[in-house]
Amino acid sequence: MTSQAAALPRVVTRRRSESAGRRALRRFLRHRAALLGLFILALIAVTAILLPFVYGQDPDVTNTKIGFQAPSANHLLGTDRLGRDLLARLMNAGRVSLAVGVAAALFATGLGLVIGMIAGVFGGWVDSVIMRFTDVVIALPILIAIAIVVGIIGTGVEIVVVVIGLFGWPEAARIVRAVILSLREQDFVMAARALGATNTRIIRKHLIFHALAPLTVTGTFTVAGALLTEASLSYLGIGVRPPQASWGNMLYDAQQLFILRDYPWYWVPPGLAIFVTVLAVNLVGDGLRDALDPHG
Amino acid sequence: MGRWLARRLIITLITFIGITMLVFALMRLAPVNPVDLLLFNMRNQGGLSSADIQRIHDNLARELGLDQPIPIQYLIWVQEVFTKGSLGFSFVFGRPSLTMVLERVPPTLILMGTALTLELLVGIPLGIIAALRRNRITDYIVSTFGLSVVAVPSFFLGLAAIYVFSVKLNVLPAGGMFNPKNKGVDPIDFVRHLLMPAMILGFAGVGPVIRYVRTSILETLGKEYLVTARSKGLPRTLVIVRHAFPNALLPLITVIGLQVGTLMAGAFITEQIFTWPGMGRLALDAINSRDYPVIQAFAVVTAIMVLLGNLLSDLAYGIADPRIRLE
Repeated sequence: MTSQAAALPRVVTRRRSESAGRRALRRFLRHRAALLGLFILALIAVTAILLPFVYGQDPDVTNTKIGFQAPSANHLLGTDRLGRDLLARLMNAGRVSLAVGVAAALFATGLGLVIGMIAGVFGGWVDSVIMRFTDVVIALPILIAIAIVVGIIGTGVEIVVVVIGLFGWPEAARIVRAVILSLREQDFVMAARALGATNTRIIRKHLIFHALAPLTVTGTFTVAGALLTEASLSYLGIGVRPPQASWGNMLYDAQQLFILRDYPWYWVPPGLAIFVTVLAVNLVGDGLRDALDPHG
Repeated sequence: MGRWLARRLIITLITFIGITMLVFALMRLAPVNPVDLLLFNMRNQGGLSSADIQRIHDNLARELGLDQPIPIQYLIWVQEVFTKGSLGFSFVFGRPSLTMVLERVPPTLILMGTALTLELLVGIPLGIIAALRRNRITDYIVSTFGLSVVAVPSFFLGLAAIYVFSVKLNVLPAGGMFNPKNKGVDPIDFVRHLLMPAMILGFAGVGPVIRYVRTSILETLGKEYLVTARSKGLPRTLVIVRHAFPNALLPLITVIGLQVGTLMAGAFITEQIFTWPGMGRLALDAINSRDYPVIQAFAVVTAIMVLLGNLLSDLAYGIADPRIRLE
């Protein structure tokens, strides 16, 4: 008998069943637009990091004698009114704008995660109070809320990041709360409790897993929103202020007619940069959303 | 319907109270003492010795209850606002800040309303086309368009529009609401001034509208009552126009309500680009000149407008969709 068993061919090939993560990755990779977005973002990141080594111009050095120059071999995008190289400023501004966008989105999502957890886990009147609080925060559009706060406290990169976070958490909080509420109904939570698991343990093991996907999608779109908000604020003069460059405030000077009319290289590149970056982030977010939730 | 309406009104009221608390807290963070807010004009008029001013300052401080704990101060402030109907006097102009903001509301509303109309006029047909030609080239192009318009920074688009239409082609005015040279109201001139700002403001909103319309129509097309209508022998076009569209376009009412906040924020920027004399520009000037009473009034009025917009759109949805009323 043993020899018979040994003679049996191995029909079942040993293959690990595909994890949810691997499936999601495969779906994402099939989404051409999202891949394009990712490629664009990678390109921007690489350029931002490598450019200072290849291109020697300093973004902050002023020299009014060479102001308003058209693009040339020395200054690939020309110079601004103070003679600063525009390409170097563009790259520098990109770093600032992206940093603000990502930091603000992380803060908002993190805050939303905490608040959503509190609302979902404690329930009852805590939940109601938090929900009303959410309504209050949503009632004021983020841009206007930041403008008002800036008008009262003053401006700066830190303030912009903090206020976007303070007014941008409802989206993430709603998701986390919904996940917790739906988890409560599930049988395995009851079973876990019957086995003596504490709240914390249940949250740690199950919530994170279920909430991670939608939170990543929301977070990505929040980055896009934060980028646009920061750019708008800087354009209006109440965000990142010169001499610190930001894609938004590079367009500030274009409010003057002569610059708008005669020096397109001044304001077109930053505007295009914002558009392309936000579009790329949106595409990636769309791809993530389709990959992680194919029913939607 | 009555109970549902009452519930919505209460929630709106609570939210509004919450916002007033938020605004109050923000104003307290200002580096300016509320008593100074009131004394500013008196100080500038001169004629009072510094001892006099100090005495008035202390009296007012006690009267306003500045030595009281914060919640009491809030209640005193609320009482002031409701009994006198005033949100302070502008530092720069000396006029009541609430009046200053309210008189700028009509231009902003006109701008927002026109932008919204344009959004719907462009977005609904495109969304319908995308849904009916689902997954084909047309759908792909329209959906990509919808995705891209949200990414364009409105101020960049505005500057580009001014460059093309005002500077190069010279067909549209670069800003303002009226031509100062014209005496009397010229409707055509007004429309010429309104066109670019409204289009720029509405541009980004077209994307979500297309997406909602497309999704909604696709969902509705699968519904059973349409199959019933078809099997009754009704022609396909009639089924689509009289049964599918009305039901599919219902969620749009909610979208419109959500758009109020976005349009307000967009108007804030657009009014600056095109020097449109609305609330947004007033607020930005106030922010730049540290005119706190006007900032405060702007915050309150904006909150009221957004809350009212949401309430009206919920109401409209309740009227349009009887299922909500029966909850």
